[in-house]
Amino acid sequence: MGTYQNKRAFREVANDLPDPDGDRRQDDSKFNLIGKRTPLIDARDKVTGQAIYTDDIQLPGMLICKIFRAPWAHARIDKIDTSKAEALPGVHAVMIGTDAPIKFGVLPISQDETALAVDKVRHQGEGVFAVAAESEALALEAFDLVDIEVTQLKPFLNKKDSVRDIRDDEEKIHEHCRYDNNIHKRVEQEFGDPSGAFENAAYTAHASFEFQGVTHAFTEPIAAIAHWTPDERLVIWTSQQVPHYTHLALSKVLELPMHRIRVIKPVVGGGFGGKSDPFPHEMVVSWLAMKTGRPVKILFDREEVFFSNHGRHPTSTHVGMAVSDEGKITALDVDALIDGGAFGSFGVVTAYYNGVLSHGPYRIPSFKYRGTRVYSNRPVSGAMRGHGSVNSRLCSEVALDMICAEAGWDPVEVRLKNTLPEFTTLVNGFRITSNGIRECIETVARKSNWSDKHGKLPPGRGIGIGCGFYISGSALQIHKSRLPQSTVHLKIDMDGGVTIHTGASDIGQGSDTMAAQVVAEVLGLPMERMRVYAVDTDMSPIDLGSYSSRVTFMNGLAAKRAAEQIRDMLIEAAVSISGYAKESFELRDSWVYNRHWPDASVRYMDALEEALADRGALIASGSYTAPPMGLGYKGAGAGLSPTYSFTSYICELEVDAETGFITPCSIWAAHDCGRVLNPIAVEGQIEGSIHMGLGQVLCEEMDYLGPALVNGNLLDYRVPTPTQTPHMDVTLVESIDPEGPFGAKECGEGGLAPILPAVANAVYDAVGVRVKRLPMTPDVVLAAIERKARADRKQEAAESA
Amino acid sequence: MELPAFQYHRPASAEDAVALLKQYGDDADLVAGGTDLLPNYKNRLNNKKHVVSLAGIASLRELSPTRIGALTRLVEMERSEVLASTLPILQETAASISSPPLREHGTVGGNLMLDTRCYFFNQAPMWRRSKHFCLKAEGDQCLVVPSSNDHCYATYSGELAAAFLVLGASLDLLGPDGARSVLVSDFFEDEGIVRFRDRRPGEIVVGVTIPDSAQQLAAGYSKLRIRDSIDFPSLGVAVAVKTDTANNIEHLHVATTAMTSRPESLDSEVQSFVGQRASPAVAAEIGDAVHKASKAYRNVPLDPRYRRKMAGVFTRRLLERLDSAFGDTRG
Ligand SMILES: Cc1cc2nc3c(=O)[nH]c(=O)nc-3n(C[C@H](O)[C@H](O)[C@H](O)COP(=O)(O)OP(=O)(O)OC[C@H]3O[C@@H](n4cnc5c(N)ncnc54)[C@H](O)[C@@H]3O)c2cc1C
Ligand code: SF4
Repeated sequence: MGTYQNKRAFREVANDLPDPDGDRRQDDSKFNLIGKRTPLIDARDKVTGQAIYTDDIQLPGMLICKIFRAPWAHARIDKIDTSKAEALPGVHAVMIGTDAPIKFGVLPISQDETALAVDKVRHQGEGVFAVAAESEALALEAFDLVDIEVTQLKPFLNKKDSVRDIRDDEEKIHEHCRYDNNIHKRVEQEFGDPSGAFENAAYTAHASFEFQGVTHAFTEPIAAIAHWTPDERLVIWTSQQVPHYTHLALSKVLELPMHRIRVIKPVVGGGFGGKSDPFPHEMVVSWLAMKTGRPVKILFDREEVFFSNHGRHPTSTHVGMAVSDEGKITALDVDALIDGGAFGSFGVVTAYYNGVLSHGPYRIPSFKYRGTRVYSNRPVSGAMRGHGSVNSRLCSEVALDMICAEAGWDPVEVRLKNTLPEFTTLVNGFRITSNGIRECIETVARKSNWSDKHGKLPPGRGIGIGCGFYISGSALQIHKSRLPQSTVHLKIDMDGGVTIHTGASDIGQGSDTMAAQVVAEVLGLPMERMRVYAVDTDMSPIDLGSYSSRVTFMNGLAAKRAAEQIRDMLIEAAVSISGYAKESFELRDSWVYNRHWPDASVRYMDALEEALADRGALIASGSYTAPPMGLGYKGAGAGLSPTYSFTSYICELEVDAETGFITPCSIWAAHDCGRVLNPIAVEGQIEGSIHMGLGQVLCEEMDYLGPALVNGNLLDYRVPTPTQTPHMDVTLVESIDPEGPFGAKECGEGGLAPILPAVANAVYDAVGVRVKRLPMTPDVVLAAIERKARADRKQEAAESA
Repeated sequence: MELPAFQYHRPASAEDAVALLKQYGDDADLVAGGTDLLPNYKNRLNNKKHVVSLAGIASLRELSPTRIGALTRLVEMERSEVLASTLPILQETAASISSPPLREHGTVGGNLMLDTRCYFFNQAPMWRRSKHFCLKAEGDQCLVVPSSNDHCYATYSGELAAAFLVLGASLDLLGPDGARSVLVSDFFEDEGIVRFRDRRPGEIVVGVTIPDSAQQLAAGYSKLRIRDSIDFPSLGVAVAVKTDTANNIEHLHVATTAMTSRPESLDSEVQSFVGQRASPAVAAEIGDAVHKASKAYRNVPLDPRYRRKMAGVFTRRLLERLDSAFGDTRG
């Protein structure tokens, strides 16, 4: 990879891409840290138990908050009387919905949540009132002293009911829904001539799947502590992926100017999208802290984490595909009915992503999409790793597999025939820059011995392929703003350590390490000189947060640009010490090194001393703003990204035809993340994504009985264990992105989706059935196998008759 | 969620434990490893004011092929070389329970006396309030079988009991009125709240006695669950069989767990096969008989029909594994 023949031609189409790295870009022989296996800088703290998570923080006089959660799915609150609870000794305050009724939400277009239910409860588990007390036991005792009367309303528990007009005995979940139904967002898009393409297709296939909701199941339960300081500022420590949006929402709901709020993100134990909204409990503890004048802590029980959800949407997806007789895809038709649960969250984006993230990694000349996200009386769905791409991806990759089976084509060859080239533009206006999809497919096919196996393994054993692509940061900002999307500040003083202030949220994915590595690389210094101070809104510049796989790309570029300014200051200092021209200097191995006259090199500390003279600490600020891109139609911004990652997986597995058990044996994975900054981190992300995707396809589901979630705990919500995790062979394909930091792009999310079709297609190869419901638990698989056996017998009987 | 407050007692002998149980009556629970009781306490499932721990009673820890003390930890069974060479089924069963960290604490007595489980019961208080509390939580209706207002169908999912059943083991009990011994097959009641046929107040399980003859049987255990670790069984099948030199079936015992409110012996359903010649066809017939005789309810993971079908498949596969006469395709 890394060839750029098409680049000039592409530039003419896409107008002048910025090319910050110039010719240094491709020369990796110079790298000191980039591409080296670098342990995450907080790993030791974590494995020795020293890392400070939110719940580890204790403040003097701290109260405990418990939120009473509605046992009803849909109900009008007629009366709440908290006076008896407030009178309980040890209870300091009780909060109800009307205490902070201002609505908020992560997207400016869906501000539909409140701190606690106001007037009406919209899902089981929604907060109704909250108690701040001296102990958890007291707070729970106070629960029984609150007098509530409600009128239960008919709950909407089925997506289809949410689409139709409400009936006389029903009430809409949200008043603001445009029509007399519970539709939150409808998206319709069409490019090219899909109906013509389907009419003229040599082959068509239709794949439909029922997706249950899945949730993130991060390790650290949700937690927050709010403190109203004596000088009347609100400080909140919160386990968050997007502290900046929390900052905005707190300001809105509490009607406090932003400068009087300070948001601190302690160490976070995983998020995967489940901590990427401003949350009701953050409003609640803040309000209670302001009311009581004492710090207030909340730590969710695990079932509360499940009620908070924001996981992947339950969806009914239907994908039609048209293919020419040469095996070229001519059209894709995607239809998705998406259950959003009680609130908006990121749902408008989800409604778009279910369609627009089907435009790659193949050339799709004609495209049609209808997406409908509805409200229901279930815990809210939101963004989860691979946001919006996963469910539709399974359908389109299975449709392609169905066509290959019908036409007798090899699924690998057909995929290779259809891949997008690098530096191209798609019908919907996406610009593709670096693209390693061919190398990904060829790699996994070669390593798995695909051509000796597909269609040739003994009964019960099968092999399947799935591919995908994913955004590397959203080019458009959620809140329209002229601020950069990411900014990093650096400071170096006479101690020679480099202080990195970043607003990027390390949630376990390693963004602090990434920032340190980028800065250390530019400055030619060892990692041990780096210290990262991430997300304290008083100190760190704004980064929009850890979502849409944007951090390495955007925050990495901001860090790099800041470091380059410091680099120039140190080189200037070396020039003034040595008298040699600045062009001959570069930073490496703790030297400002002179390439032509090594004797003129200056030690880092000497250059620093010179640079600090009469000036004091070196400081720099670097930032990133995505360049303008895309077309002008409504919704054109959804899915636009400065670059995209590409992935291909092959899975070999066994299916026990008598019990329905699927046992994955091996997975060959290839992911194009541009330049690999840190192989340990990237491999970890790919393996983690595979593991998470296996959960969705094999065993995870939000299991409801009517309105009630039955398995809101980590015993019954079955995340795969190590015993179910197969051998994974991960290859990192480096397409070297022209714009990313050192050529890097995302690796945190794109690696999830392709494992689902790789498994589904392998199941077909093993036992000849297409299982249409996820997760593919053994009872579901066995039922499909038995159905097929019955159909086969019928056909045989018909043929012999 | 914090544990509810209770008074903790740590007697040094089995007799003292019995005395404490007698003293506090219905206000006390016994705890061994705590891996079942404490999660239930966190969910406020019928918790009591007093908890009597067996942890300090050294005499309950013996381990031999004929006698296993109630306080023997699952991990000790799993690693026991003596059991490996005499009663490998016990090792196999212990190793399939929960997960390695839980087996470090979980005990034989606790596993045998495991409370029954149900989707509608093993939930947080708020959840149960939303559905109205069921019979097992002092409500007045079962939510799995709504027509029932006097019978709870919660599922017994202790696994060792199935293995002990096919080995013909008995429980050694100590109570205020002294010691007694009851066959495992006579001990349990198929009702999710009552659970035991004749458990007397204040009685504790001190150990399990296994007849010498059990070592002559080829015995194995097989577990149905979605994940290979952590998950409670959706079905457990234990089989013990002995064939003579002419491949005729001399002894045949089958038991299941996690299907009803007790470990079920299916011996009477399979006795007609004793005396028949072992063959793949007979293995399949035995499997069918077990399938047909099994019952299951929709209150633990996986569809009841599927679980019943698997009871048959697992039985047949165990027979094939345990005795080549069942697996030999030449009959
Ligand atoms: C996540 C999870 C997964 C699990 N998976 C499984 C599984 O797959 N299979 C399975 O069988 N179990 C499973 N369990 C349950 C439990 O861990 C085991 O059954 C364990 O063996 C229980 O033993 P214990 O000593 O911890 O019991 P405890 O919790 O100490 O006691 C359990 C019950 O037995 C009573 N009791 C204990 N000892 C005696 C005695 N000597 N005499 C009379 N009564 C007594 C107690 O009063 C209590 O009612 C699981 C538990 C958890 C939390
Ligand atoms: S079987 Fe019925 S009574 Fe028993 S625990 Fe379940 S719902 Fe309650």
